[in-house]
Amino acid sequence: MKQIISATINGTSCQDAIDDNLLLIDYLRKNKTLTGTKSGCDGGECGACTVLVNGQPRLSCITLAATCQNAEIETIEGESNNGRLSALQRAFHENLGTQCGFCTPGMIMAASGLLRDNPNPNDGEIRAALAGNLCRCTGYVKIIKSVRAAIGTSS
Amino acid sequence: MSEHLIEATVNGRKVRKTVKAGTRLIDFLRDDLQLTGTKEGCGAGECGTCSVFVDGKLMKSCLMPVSRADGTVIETVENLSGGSILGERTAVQKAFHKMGASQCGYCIPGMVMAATAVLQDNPQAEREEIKERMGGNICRCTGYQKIIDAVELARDVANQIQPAGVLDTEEHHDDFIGASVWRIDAPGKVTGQLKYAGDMVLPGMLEMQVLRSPHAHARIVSIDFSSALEVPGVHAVITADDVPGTDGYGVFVHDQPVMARGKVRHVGEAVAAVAADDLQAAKEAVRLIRVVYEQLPAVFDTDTAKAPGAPIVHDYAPENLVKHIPIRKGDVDAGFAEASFVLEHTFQTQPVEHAYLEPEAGIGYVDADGVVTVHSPSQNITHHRHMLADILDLPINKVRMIMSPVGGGFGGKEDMLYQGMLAIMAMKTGRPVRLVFTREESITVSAKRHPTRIQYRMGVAKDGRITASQLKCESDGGAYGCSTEGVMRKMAILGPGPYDIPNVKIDTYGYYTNNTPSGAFRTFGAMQSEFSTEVMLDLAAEKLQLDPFEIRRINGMRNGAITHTKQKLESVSFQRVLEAAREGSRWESGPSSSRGEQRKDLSGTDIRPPCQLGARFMSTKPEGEFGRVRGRGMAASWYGIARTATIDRAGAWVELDDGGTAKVLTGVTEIGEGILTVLAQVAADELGIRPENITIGDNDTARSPEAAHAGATRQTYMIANAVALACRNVRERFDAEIAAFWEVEPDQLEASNGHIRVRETNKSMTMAEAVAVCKGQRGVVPVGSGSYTAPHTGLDPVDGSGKPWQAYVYGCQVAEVEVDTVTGEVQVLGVWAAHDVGRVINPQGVEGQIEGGVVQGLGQALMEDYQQTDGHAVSHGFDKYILPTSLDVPHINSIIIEDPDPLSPLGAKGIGEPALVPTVPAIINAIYDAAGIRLTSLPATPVKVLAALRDKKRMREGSLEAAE
Repeated sequence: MKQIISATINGTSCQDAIDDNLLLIDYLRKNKTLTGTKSGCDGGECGACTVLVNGQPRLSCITLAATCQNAEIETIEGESNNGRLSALQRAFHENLGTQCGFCTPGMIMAASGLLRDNPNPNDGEIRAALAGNLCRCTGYVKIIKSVRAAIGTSS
Repeated sequence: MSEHLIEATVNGRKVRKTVKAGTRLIDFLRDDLQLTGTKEGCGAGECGTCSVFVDGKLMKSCLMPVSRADGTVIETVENLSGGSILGERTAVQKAFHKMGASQCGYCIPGMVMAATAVLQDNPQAEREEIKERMGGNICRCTGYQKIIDAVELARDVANQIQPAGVLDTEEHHDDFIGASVWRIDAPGKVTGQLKYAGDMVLPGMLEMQVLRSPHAHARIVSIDFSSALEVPGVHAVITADDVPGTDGYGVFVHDQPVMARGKVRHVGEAVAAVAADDLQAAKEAVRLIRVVYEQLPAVFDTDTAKAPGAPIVHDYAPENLVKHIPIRKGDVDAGFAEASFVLEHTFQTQPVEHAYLEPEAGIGYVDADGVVTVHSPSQNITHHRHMLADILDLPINKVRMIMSPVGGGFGGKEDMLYQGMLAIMAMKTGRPVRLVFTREESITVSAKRHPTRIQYRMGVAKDGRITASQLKCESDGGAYGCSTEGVMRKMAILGPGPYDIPNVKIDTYGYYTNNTPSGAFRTFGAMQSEFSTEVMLDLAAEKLQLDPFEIRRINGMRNGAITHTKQKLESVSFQRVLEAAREGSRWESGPSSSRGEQRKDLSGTDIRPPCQLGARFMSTKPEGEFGRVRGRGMAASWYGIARTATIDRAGAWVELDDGGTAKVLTGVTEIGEGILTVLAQVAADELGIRPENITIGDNDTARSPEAAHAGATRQTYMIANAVALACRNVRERFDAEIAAFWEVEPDQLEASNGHIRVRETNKSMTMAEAVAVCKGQRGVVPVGSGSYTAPHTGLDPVDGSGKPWQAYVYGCQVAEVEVDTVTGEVQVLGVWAAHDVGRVINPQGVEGQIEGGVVQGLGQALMEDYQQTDGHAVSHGFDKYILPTSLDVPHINSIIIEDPDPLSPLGAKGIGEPALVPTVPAIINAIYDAAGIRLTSLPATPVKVLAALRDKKRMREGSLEAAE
């Protein structure tokens, strides 16, 4: 079955006819060619596919696109503004929060969700918020340092 | 918009797709099925690059609505080799590879399909029938000869006249320089697997379309693109306001904006560009952009352009002068005084379109490192990157140009044109953006060969010596500078020909007008001025009743000659070349005049009769003045190798790799001439391995060392020498390690054909083993680099003296023609082309260049003419811009002369451009010989030939009346 989904993606409103069983990650990557969102496990275990739905981090690989009716969706592509990095992106860049880079979009989106709810988290809160996001390169130390560095800096 | 459901069998597989109404079969194949082997060359059924089989019948897929293909069986070029480059190729494909029938490769899928159709319909087709039936497929590189040869070979193999093995096994060579090694890039071309820019697709790619000026000269009052942005699917519109950096580029003068800034200077100039999700939305948006123009007085010819009070095209050049190049030697007045007669004539050449089969195309994107990247078939990515960095205001390493396979260039892809728009649009949208020109866009917007008027005075002594030559050449440079300055320089330096002339005065002037810009085109101006010289020499020889070879022998340069720019030449092969052409064509000596049918040397064994199968109406033996008359003419030429009057350089990196293979990295530009194969041959000989074991890196400003442009007949001379030096650098390092391993001296080692050994011993290893020793036991990676320099000097601004090149080549061609005095049609029956190319690397490749050059020369001599009315192109498609087809080509006999360059490591020189120069005057001189008419304005169309014949008749009748 097809249905029409209306949503706002990175500030642009979209209407598309989609299959009922289309995953949000496939909608973003295939229909919208927003390939910044990565698929790491296809089972909601690694967090690489994290996007924000109505400001909340969601694992797009286990979310049906159809459930995002009228939602506001943000992906990593929406973080930077016309080539200008966001405060979080800059902090990851300056603090070596990214190595191979594959988990980074999900990390940044998860951190972004955290900072909206809690603009001044402590280290424990940062760790807890990123607990669902796996990273195999950095040992997490510099990722946490990056999020800490982004606290209080405006985009 | 309505849609159709199409069910068809494509390459053996069932296909079911919904397509929009109005989709052409070619779009269905290329866009829906990703079968990009089928190419679009003209979109109008005129060039044949899109040929496919529909229900077993050869069809032009650009003319067929896909709705008509419903229920049919379709076969494309991909299917011939099982859909893969790794599949077994057909006999036709193999024969194209063996014979060197593919150069740039863009016409080749269509050619292969047409050839397959010919042999399916008539497995015994004779050469004439093959030519006739392939007349609907245009090729701009090869001159058709090797294509027809390949079809004949495939036929003979199919009929078991030749063993099938000839198609599979290449002749064994031990030394590769000098051998006709098969082209290493041909398999990808004959199978349709090579991706040109227009065949490439990137995820999320947008399509770009350009709004172009309808006026030749107008001020832009306003541009309103608000409605364009409302079209669903449109991402952005760009205009001159979006250019971030210095908006002016060009090869010599930076006068060209990326898009019209403030005013338009020629019809077709880019004014704005749109990027959208699909082509349809982009086209619709372009139609909705509203531009208000205020028309300005315009100028369309050089006489008006230079007159006081003429409309000014560029404010910085109030006299509309782009460049004046003077050359002075001796005292021409004294020379004319010394002459026994002075000839004065004026010549006019026409603008010519390059007509590469691949229309301009490109993809721009910003990569994840913020590097703005443009893939395009550019002949000079090195310089394009410099210009783009200024336009974009980015550090040079943040701009990357990658050369996509060039489907024919001939100079036309040397001047930058649309790459700036692609880069800016990619930056603005953040998405990959593709632009593919239509044929009409390509013809009306790209730069042309400079139309030139040459006012000539030549003083000749009784003994045939030229005492003085004075040339004034005035060229229409069109609306932008492009390569005009360089074209004026080469036109001047080479103008008076390879002759020892004590007194010379040359002035070349390039002017701005509001016509389509003129730019680089094979020979860069030399063809125009040398054409006039060669016709003048024929006139002088006639007056003296000298053989045309004799007058050239008398005046021709010899070792130690001083050129018109006062350069002393060490090694001049000109006299050898003249003699080779004379002997090769079995020329009958005699005074240059209208000997025509009286000649004894006509219709020799190397002649191909004109195609009789339908293309021309049958006419019988000449009767009186009606019918066909034959004659012969000749002309000579010279050419300088590599960049003119400026230091030239090229670099290369080489690594001897595992398995005894090698990687060669250099910014080489393969535009169809076969330079990749040449470099593989050179590297193979230098390293001691085989060409098929060499990988040559693509031309990418971010990956390969600078080797600059494909032009000036420089690539073999500059880049092959750089590669040779890099290989020698590798061998020095490598041989030291291997010698240490064997405990011998490095100079005792020799390597060839995949083996390295110690001379006069039984110590020997394969190169694979030796590389393993060098790396595994000695711990050394055998890498090296090389840079080659040609130390040319600039010309003195007052008298033009200087050393513009260190290597010169010489050529001489004889043409035999038949003039139909009823229709005015001229058919060239045979050409004998003798050219010094220095040390030859690949004889088959040299022949390919000669044949292609001769046929382009034939086109310029007889039919090609880019006509404009008030700056509007009249001949904007292949229906009006007439190109030579397989039916027009004569038999071309290539005579290769080797006079190795003493100043460079390899001794090779070049042939790309020079082959075209003598063809035009040789044909024009032959027409005079045949029909007694002297044409000084190109091309010699039937209209002009008939008018000249009428004038001749009238003059003769007038003189008869006077006698009565």
